[in-house]
Amino acid sequence: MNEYKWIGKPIKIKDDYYPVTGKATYLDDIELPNTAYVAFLRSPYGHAKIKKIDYSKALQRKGVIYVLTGKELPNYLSPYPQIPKPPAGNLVDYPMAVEKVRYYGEPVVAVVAEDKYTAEDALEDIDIEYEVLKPVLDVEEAVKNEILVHEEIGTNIIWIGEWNYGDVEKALKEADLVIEDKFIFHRYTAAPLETAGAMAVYDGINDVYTIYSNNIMPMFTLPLICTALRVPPSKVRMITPPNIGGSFGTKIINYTYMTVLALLARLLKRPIKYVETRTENITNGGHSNGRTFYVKVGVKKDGEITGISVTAYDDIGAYPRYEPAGAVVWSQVLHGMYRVKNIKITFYSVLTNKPPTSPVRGYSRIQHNFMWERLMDRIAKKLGLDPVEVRLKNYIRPEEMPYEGPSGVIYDGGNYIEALKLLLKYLEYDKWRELQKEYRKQGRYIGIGISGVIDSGANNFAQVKMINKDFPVSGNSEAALIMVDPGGDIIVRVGTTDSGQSHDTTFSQVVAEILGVNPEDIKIIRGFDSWSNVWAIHSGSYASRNAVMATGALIGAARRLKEKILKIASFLLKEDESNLDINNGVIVSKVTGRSISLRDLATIAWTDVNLLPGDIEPGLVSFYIYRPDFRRNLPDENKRINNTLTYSYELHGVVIEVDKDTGMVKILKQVVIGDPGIMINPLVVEGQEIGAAMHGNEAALNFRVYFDENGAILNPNFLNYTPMTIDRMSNLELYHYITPSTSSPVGARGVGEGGGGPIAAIINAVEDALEPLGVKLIMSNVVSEELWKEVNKNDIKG
Amino acid sequence: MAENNKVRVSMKINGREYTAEIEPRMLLVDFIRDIAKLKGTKIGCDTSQCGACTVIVNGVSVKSCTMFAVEADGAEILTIEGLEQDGKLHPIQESFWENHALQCGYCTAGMIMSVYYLLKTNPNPTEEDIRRGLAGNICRCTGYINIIKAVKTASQKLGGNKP
Repeated sequence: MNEYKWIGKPIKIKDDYYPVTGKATYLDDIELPNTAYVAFLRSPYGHAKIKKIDYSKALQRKGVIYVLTGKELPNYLSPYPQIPKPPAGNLVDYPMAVEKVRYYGEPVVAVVAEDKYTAEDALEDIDIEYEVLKPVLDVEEAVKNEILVHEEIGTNIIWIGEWNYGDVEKALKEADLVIEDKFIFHRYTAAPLETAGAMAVYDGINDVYTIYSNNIMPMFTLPLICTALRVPPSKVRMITPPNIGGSFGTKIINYTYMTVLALLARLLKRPIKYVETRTENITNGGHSNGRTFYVKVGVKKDGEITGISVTAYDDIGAYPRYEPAGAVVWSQVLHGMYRVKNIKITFYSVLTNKPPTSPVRGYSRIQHNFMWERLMDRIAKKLGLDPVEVRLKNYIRPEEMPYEGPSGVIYDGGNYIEALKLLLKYLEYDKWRELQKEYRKQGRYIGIGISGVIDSGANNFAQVKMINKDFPVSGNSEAALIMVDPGGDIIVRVGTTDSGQSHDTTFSQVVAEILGVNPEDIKIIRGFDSWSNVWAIHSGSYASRNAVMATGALIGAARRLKEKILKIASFLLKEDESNLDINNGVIVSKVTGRSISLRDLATIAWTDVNLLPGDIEPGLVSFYIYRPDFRRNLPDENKRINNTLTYSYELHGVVIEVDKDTGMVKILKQVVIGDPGIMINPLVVEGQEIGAAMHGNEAALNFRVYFDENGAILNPNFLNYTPMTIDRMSNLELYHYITPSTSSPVGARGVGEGGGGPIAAIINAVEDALEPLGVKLIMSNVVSEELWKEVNKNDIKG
Repeated sequence: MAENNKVRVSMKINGREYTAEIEPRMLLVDFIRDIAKLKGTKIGCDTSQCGACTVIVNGVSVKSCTMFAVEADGAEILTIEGLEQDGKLHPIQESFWENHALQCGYCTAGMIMSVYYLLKTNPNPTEEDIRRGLAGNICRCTGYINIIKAVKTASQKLGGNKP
């Protein structure tokens, strides 16, 4: 392991200064003169034809400026591009409903008013006549194509992919036992505390749109907006403010709002702003993909898995938006933590009359991890083994690392076996198994559950080529620019966006490490501006990429700059470059002790330029775009690719009790073991790990979006879609088992999504608790009412 | 609503007087953000669950989206911007910073104001008290563990005194 001076230190988080003083700037804090505000009238149905819209009354309301209906959009906009080839590629997607509504909450009318109160009021003045259609809400119904979400493509199945490695048929024949199972991963949303929003300004002289938003990958969404607005990328300037109030993946799909606002800004020649209400955020701010798995797994008596065959139906909602990209993202963790070689997975990406999905923390892998980890417990129960034993039997061995999986992934190190032993120790697994027996005698329902998940980071977009080899996106890249200014201060720009990952601090640590200065002396430019910041097209904060991607770019730029600094110093000090190094901001010769401060050197480099050697360009600036080598960079015809760079893993253990009186699940003990590789700043990494674990707890115990038979969402606000509060959050314990990444620049792994770790652990524990009652859980979320009925079924009459 | 329905409202926020003619239905949080232009106080929901808009009104913590600005006429209000004194952070602010008790920071202003009121009414809270006292403030990032630590640190820094 390398010895670092700054990387790995839990230095105080600079970024935190702004929120603790109330000086942080988020989207809605930015005000421009003469701004008008938008409110959307949204569909109350999951599926309906729009017969008539009457907004004449709204226009009479004082303060209302303009009304735009979705019906008019084709006059102004082009539909968004689609990833798959036809027929799915012919799907028509506008940011508002044109002729029919396809999901609850789809925007139908936009009202523009002088203030947000008036805009909202005016929604009540609008009459829309709908012809209600039967929606298709269940993914297995949707594949029958009896009700079509998009008539223009003639099917609800937008893509089918098959991953087939080894010989699954033979493996199932050779098994002692073949187990068949069904699991359902449910829909929920991550609900960042700041909802999505945007503001657009149009410059009529230059025909340029400036779009402010809290989007987390602005350059990636730019081509979508430009296609819709029918302009080249140079006509749209993307700005994100210094602070984004959380995203967890969801703030990728807000480009639909940006498009409508840009259009309105052009039509009305005024800045236009819109921020989602919480209700709009829960209904339409991006749901996780619901997924139904049919699994057939072959096992030996000792628990060894011989092969697995899976058919999965992914519910992506009414518009693909970011899909079917998600349909390939899960294949980063195809075989989970297990050394199974015979794997066949058939995957359907399916439209339903539900709101569009978006990346949600753990995007697409979380569902797949859940399937594996539930399956391991089911295998254990069938064979009469301990779930720990089955896992240990099938885990990839430490000596097999880096491990090349059947689909071409290259797992970058780790020791699953030792990490699991650590988990069992801290969870006091054996003690709880004994206690469980005691409690069962007393009629108490105590359960113990474990799960292990792969939390892959820094994705390779080339996996999209599995869907459409002609779609022009692959790999990953990030840009950094570092400048030592004429006063000797170090200024850094990176193309990332920060939604709570403390980039100022961790990026400063990386640059300080290379440049031999103190992190406090480094100024990271906060916020993003496509006209003045640096960026690469893949720039942003998603897919747990920046411990690898931003670090790679910063190291590249810092090394380039250091080379130049040493070259100039060598000339000025008349010393061989190899004798020189930078130490606490001073360039010193190890041989003679001669030195020059970075400040003095910077002054010469910028202002006293005739003192520089003739072949040296004035100034101290370097720019670098990092592009990692994934080793298997593009998929072959059998979808073999290394589709992400790092594969951190987490092990989760919970002890729970199902309360007999209420059916509530109480977490008695929770332990997480993480292996993030080298942590650039442990405070940041631990924060991400604990936060991700809380989201897993919520997904299992709180968060589920409920639909009625018309596709309307029944729990669209924090009253009934309830986030974890401090009084209900478990006192989880976090420990590390560190192995450095074999793939990334400083040995760090991307973390922060947690792979949905606690979800399967909690469901496993609940099923374990209710084993005496023979309860089988199918879903990734449990509800107290349903559990109460189970634990009291002998007492309930009729 | 017609112009003549506007009412004149005055309140003192962080020691400074703000007066405006506003619609009677304007929420206090909108007065603080849009009239006084103090953007540190946030809006995170529409049902008064999240607590991002928590401020201190006449010494008591209030979710400022649950109160009309007219109800705060004549009131003394403290927001996140008013905690810093003579360029020195308040011990609660310091404690949040030292314990990295935030990530995206969107809940932080409301959370800190709730801690301010909690420590004012209970200068030496137990963990149980902290969990009960802050149950009205939602943080989506941290899992709350560092927030609990920060409140304990703040209580120590204040030496059992009220903030």
